[in-house]
Amino acid sequence: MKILLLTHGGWGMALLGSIQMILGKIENVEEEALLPQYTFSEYKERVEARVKTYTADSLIITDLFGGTTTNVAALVGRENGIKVVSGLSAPLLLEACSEIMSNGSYNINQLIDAGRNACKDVVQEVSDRLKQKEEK
Amino acid sequence: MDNIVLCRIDSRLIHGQVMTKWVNQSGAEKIVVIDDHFADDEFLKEVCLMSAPVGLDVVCYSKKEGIQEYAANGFGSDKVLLLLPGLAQMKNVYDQGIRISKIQVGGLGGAPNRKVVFQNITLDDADVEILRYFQQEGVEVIFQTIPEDMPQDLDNILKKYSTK
Repeated sequence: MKILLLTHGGWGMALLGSIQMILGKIENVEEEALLPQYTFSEYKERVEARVKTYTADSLIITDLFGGTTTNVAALVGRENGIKVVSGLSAPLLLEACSEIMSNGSYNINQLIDAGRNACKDVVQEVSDRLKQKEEK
Repeated sequence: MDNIVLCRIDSRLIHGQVMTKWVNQSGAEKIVVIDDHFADDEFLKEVCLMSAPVGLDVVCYSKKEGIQEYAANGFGSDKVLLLLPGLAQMKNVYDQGIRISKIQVGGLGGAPNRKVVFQNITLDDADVEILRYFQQEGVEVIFQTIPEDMPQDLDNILKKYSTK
């Protein structure tokens, strides 16, 4: 089982480095960077070549919905029966890696929740919590 | 005619640069993609439609459908960003009635025998022939990947091509 990160310019491995500060050494995460000179088809071929060796329980995480990373992953994911999640972020990758480390598998809905729920209006969030406590 | 506020050649079609930069810059209310490869495969077509910015109308036509739609209603009354994957496709629809007056070449990708002329835009001899054709037709052709770049005019680009 592998996780393939698809990013504009290749920031996925830097993110993985940050996640390893929290989780320790992580294996089986790879990246295929989208570089400005690639066409849609060239990039698709590169992603396909990587995914060819992957088992169907693997996962592709892309950085930008609406971008070429995600458009290519949509096709490759369908053709190879591999799940694709967009919106790569620290909380999303952290959740994926820690689920796989402890269970040997991931739950796609939990990953998506982890990515979504970590995006907050922070000062407002704290103020709201304080207000709720005062009201109790 | 003419509601086409931007006609762009980009082999990646709708992607990061287009949706974050050019949609705003051009004031487009609708994206029209003309690409047989995308239009003929339902899943691929949906991927193309899905990648458009939220709230923006987007349609994906084959060349044939695009030509018909344009002849029938000029793609409707909304301001249109017209997007095609390559110069050959552009010439084809131009010759069959989509008579745009200005073309922006924004991204044409690498194959072995293509020459880089500006940033990540490459051309081959067939492309150059089409560009000369548009020049003769009086169509203005510029090369520009993102709005922050200086647009490059065709003469400059052709000069670069011939010296490479």
